[in-house]
Amino acid sequence: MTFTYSREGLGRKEEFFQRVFEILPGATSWSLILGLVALSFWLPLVSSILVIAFLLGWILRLFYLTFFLMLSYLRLSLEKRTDWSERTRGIDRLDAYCESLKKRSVGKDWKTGLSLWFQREELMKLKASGKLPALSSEIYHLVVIPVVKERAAVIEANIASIAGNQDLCKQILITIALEGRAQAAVKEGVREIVEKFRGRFMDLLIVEHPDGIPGEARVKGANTTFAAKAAAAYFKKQRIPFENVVVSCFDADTIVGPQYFSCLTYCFMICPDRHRASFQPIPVYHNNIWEVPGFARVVETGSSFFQLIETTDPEKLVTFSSHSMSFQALVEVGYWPVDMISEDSGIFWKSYLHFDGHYQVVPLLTTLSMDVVDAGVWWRTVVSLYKQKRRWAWGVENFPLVMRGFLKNKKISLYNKMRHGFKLFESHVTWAALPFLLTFVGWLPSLLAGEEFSKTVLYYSANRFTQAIFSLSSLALIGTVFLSIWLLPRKKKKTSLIWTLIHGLEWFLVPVILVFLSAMPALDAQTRLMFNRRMEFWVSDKRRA
Amino acid sequence: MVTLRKILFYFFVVLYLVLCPLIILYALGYIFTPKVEEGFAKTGLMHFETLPTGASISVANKQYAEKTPTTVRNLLAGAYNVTLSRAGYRPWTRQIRIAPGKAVAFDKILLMPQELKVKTLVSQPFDDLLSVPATRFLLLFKSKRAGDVSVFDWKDETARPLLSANAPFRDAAVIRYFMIKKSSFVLFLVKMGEQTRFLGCQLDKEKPEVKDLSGLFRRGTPSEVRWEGDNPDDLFALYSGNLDRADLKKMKVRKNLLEGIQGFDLFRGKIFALRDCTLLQMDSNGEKGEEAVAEKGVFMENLFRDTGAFKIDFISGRTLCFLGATGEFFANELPYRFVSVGLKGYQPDDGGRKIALWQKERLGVLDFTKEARKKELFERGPEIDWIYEGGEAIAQAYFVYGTSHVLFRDQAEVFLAPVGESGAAAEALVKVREKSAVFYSDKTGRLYYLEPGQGYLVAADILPEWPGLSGMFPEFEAPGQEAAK
Repeated sequence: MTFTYSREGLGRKEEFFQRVFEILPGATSWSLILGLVALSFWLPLVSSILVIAFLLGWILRLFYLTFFLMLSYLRLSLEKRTDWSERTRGIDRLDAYCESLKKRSVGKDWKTGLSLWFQREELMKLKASGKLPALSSEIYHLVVIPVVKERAAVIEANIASIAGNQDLCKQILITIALEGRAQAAVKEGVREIVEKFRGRFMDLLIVEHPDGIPGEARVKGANTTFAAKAAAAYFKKQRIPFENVVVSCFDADTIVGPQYFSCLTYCFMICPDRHRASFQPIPVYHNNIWEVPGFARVVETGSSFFQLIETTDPEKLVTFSSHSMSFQALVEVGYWPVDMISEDSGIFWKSYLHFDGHYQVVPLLTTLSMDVVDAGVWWRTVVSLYKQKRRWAWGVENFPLVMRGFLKNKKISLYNKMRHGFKLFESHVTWAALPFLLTFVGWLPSLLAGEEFSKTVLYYSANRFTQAIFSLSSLALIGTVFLSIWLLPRKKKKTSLIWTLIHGLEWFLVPVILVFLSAMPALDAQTRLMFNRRMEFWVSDKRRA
Repeated sequence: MVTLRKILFYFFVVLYLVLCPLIILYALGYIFTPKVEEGFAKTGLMHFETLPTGASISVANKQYAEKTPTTVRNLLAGAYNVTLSRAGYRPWTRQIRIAPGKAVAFDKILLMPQELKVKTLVSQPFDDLLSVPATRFLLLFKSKRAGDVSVFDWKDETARPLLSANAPFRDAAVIRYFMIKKSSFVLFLVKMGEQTRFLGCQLDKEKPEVKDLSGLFRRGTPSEVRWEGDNPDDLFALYSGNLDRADLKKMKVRKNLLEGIQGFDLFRGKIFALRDCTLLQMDSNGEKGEEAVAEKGVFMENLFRDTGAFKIDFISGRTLCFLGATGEFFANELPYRFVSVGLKGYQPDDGGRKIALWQKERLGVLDFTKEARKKELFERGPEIDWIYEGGEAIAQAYFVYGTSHVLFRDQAEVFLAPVGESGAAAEALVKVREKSAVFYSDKTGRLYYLEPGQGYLVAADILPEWPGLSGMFPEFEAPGQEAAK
């Protein structure tokens, strides 16, 4: 379908729909919050009933999500010791490999047994589809690393971690997407790094992106798109077909493990619709996790948990942060959006609309690590975190584009339009409104109760119910605390049990964090979109010892 | 994983759709009763909070395992006999009517001990006791002789004579005293032979300073003397409708600052006075002229029909009360006129939104915070809730435990009555010395009185120790705890 995934150059009718859908999320969030406050004043009985219905829904959802968080963690831990290179090579000789797998699970521990069972299922599906991939030796990787003000040490650590994927280094083309407006010192640093690693990879390119190309905004997507186009020319010259290339767009502070690209290659190969799919690893923020204030640790671990939960529902999964996809698909859809801040989720929706709904996100059972926001001083870190979350929440800019796309597209089923449209809308509204409703509005009918309402059974029941719900929610919180202790990397220095407990207690900051570093930035972003006040890309402050 | 997620999703959706209406119905009070004639019934509940906590509950002769504070739910409509009991305390018994969907809350039940704990504070015989309103001081009188007056500080429980052994006016007879809220300055009018003198005394000094201020006053007795602040600069005395201002620093008097007035009050540096159905306002220094706050007209003439004197009192920043010489009582809030005749005194709470007021035989509470009744043709404002009737000569009242109870003296006996419980009987607490006043502080939870036998100053614990009481002794007690006599 021909649909320009942009808010620029619209006709009057399209402009009208664009504005309506831009206003809708913010208006809904504000209406929910203010509506319940108003109801608490004027119709406390109705408000109390709504609060009960809302809290019940929330606690059931919390248990549901916590269950899948545990399951997702379990699934991730099953593949912790998987040799992805061996699995990748196995697909090259599919029939023989399937036969050998049958014998292999005997006598293994339950984790390995389960992992092999999942693998066998995937191989069977691939075989049944008949859509066999190219040989693993013919699959290449393009890694695009956008740079604007990142320090050389951070970029170097990124490239060094990619170099750790020794089996595949010669199949990896690294393209550093360098902003033309970057300072000279940054440019010099990048050049030194490229010299240092030259020869280790298939190639290392620096593509300088000039400012002010017509139709572009000062956003990351414009930079990465420019670099990807240069890489396309490189592959063409090398006669490497685009369908054999997997492109990964990494943030500059990304660190991958030595098996990362093997895992990505395997997932690309095993996926029958590999050219209609993005590949999403679990982003964790472990690079400097023990060097940041406790609240920042909780915020970012929470983000990782959210992504872990999302991976259990690939039908609704959307790309986020560092992600990968078929280069052929990227070229076909016209690369990343060049006028949007949220190019990570934007590329998924752009592809979904372009391929008439035949596009999905495949979760990668591996992690990649990035930096937690750290501005040196705690209050600056709070401000930086706020801005980072607001930028993430600016992903709501996709909603009007997706809805306009859905209105125009006749090939995507109504069910899929409803499903995706509702999820996108609901997730943003929940993000902005839910913490406010939980923290404040839930208590308002009782606090603002007039004499008449305070003499009803409902007044007492609502209070009791609210208390019971919050007690139950602490069970989920305790589960999360334990999971965070298991998931976080070990400290460089050994610490006592007391410190472990203190790190666990940091999770009790969740109610404050949810309001101030999650809901407020989201509401801020939605309000800006509502009033047509666009945001510019803002690079987060990140430090590493 | 996707299939499992779908199964669980639909399971949770079904669970929600089943649970949500059930929980909402239960929250509204609906229960299923096994009795055939009942089926689904809408119930009510009772909520109890007691001081002290931990009282056991019996409803319709059924003993509940929970102790107060607690809520008894799922009660079908009807009347229930309820008893709360705790060892060492008098049982609390009521008949409570439950309506469907409604809650009856008793959130400030004060359980009185079987025997009040009484402590002797001063083992000397006194004839009368007088509290200096909203301060920590009590004046104790052995006789009318000025030398026989002692000052008792209930904060540190010490007593000392008002006048030193060689003070010149020791043998003078105290014939009148003037005090205002939150001020430890007291003005005594004493008589020595045929001569009357005005003595000003600052009670919060280590050695009370007594100054002869007679030169600032006219001959005769003023009907009122008022001032603003703890350590006053000016005294305002009212003589037959004429107001004088006495400057204590310059020891000068400005006579007839206002003339022909029926009463006055001082509030935030201004004099408010009533003259010929007009409420006036003037700076207390008298430099600017008077101006009308509420001018004479049909409304004011209807309100101030009595041309006699009025005690005017700002009980809060927004509420102004007027008490006439015949016991007429009204305020600047709807419905304005509350008592036509016979009001003996009143006692506002700390915030000035509730007033305990009494006539000779009955005691009531006026609650300005009460929401106006909806859908009524005439806007009416609050009405007095008469909580005790059948008294003989009610003379004093204090709010207890916030404003949940009123403690009052009827002749020589002190009673406690709950507020807002029509039909509840007042509990007799103690007998006190004939014709002597009492004082109650909600900060200490104690009643201070002269015991009937010897006339010793004693304190009875009315409130058990609770967090709100311990360690909270500001320099002055909150305003409003005035023993109006």
